[in-house]
Amino acid sequence: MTPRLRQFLWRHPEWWTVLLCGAAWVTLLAAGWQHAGHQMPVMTEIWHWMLMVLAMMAPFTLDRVRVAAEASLWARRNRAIAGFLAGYLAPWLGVGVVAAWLRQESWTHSYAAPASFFAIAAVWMATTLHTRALAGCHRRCPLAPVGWRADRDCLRFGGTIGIACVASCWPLMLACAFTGHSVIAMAGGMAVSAMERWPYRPRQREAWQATAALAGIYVVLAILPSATAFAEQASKPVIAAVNSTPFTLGAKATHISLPASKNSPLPHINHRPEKRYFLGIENLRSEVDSPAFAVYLNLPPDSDIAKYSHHFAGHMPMFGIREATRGKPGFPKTGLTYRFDVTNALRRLASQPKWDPAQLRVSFITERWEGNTEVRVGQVVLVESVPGGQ
Amino acid sequence: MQSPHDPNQPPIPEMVGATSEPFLIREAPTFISFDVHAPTGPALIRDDRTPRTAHLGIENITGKVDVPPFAVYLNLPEGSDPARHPFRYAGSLPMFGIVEMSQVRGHHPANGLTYRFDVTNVLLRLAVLKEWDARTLRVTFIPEPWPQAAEAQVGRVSLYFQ
Repeated sequence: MTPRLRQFLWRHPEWWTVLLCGAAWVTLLAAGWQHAGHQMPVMTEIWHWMLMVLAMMAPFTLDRVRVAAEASLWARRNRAIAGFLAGYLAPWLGVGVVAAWLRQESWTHSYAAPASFFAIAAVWMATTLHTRALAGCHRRCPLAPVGWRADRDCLRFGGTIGIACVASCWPLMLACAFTGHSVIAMAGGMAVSAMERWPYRPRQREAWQATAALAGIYVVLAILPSATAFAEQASKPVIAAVNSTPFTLGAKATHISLPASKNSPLPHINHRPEKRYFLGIENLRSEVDSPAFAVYLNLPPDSDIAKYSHHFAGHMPMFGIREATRGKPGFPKTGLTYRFDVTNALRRLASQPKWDPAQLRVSFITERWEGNTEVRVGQVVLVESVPGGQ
Repeated sequence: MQSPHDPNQPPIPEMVGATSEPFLIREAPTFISFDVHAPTGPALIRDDRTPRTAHLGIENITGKVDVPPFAVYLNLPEGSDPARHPFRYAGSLPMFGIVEMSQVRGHHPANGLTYRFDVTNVLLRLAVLKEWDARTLRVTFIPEPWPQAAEAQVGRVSLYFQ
């Protein structure tokens, strides 16, 4: 390390906090330019929330980080910073758990949710409580030099600043989270915070105007026809997996594999709460009467179906299959076709560790039947769509 | 180790000792002491031949009532008359505005008052007289006469080498 670099690092003990902020930004950007509507598991939501806090809020605590380092013995500087950051992030983690829980609700995935919370933030910023909380972000707590008291004081110092920061910015951060950690919303939120935190006198009027503008943007997005057009575009059905090879259902259980199509949405199934998934069993034909079939997804071989009720996709009665196969004037010979909404079953399967997004296994279990049966199936297809879509 | 000190920039301060808990100062003299640690950072390896300075920080002084100014002495023998030890005098703590600085008002975060004294000469003199062992520092707060009860809290007393 060159002396010049060492001196720079000594003068700026907050350097690795800046690196953490940068890494948080890079990770969030790498996760994609996400928008409202994406849903993630709770733990992933919490992880992204904490990344967002690091990316957006930690830059405004750098002066406090420096205070924590400079008020500590030289050998303890980095430990003091770590303690401060742990204390600072703890209150935000509590809010993050609530936010992640709220994100499991569908209403938080609409543009109306961030619009509402940006509006709440604008109202909150005009209150005395917010002004007091903002002042609390500049607190300075005495730190013991050594021992457990030093660690305790660093945690308490960080916690004090973290609580004030939460009290100051909670609606703004929830709004950003409800945009699906949109880069535009996060950059806007940071700009608002910068107006409040960096100048010697907080520029609260400008910050309020910027927050109101963010609320306005999301109100417009919520009601704009182009937003509807975007939603319609997104509602076009996409084939997620398909097996076009005809096969026959007999008296014994039949299992087929549905390979995922190119650009299949199956790997992202739990990130798309607005999407629905439909399993189509098409062109069922038979010349003789046949029993009904139960359809299961990813049913393990030779398993007891009673124990796998959560794999159940739907029930296929064969009433009228002969007539649908023979056809008659005015009716084509297309056979029977069934379409099941398997969204919930797929989401449950996708959250299991053995989930393989590359292919889906579909099992046809016949009900008790004494005669012979042979039902030909033309195609099985899994389609991603939205309710009311095409 | 090669010195990273850039002569064009002020030296980097290094905290070498501080009190562990906040304490009260009242209308009677208050004595506190804390350990002084050997510098291990920039204060240790400076070789730019500029004299090292020492600064005493009296941090986060808060109070609910007005209090008198306090005089601060270093290594003052207990029970001795401060007037007979002027070379131990570090500085004076005016308490004007302490009540206001202890409350969250507007954009003020209630950090209280903080003072920092250059005690380089005081410590040098004490060291020459062998009245300071560089391991412990004793700080005494002497209030000026005050007609009523007074009490303020000091968050921390710290010593920096620079």
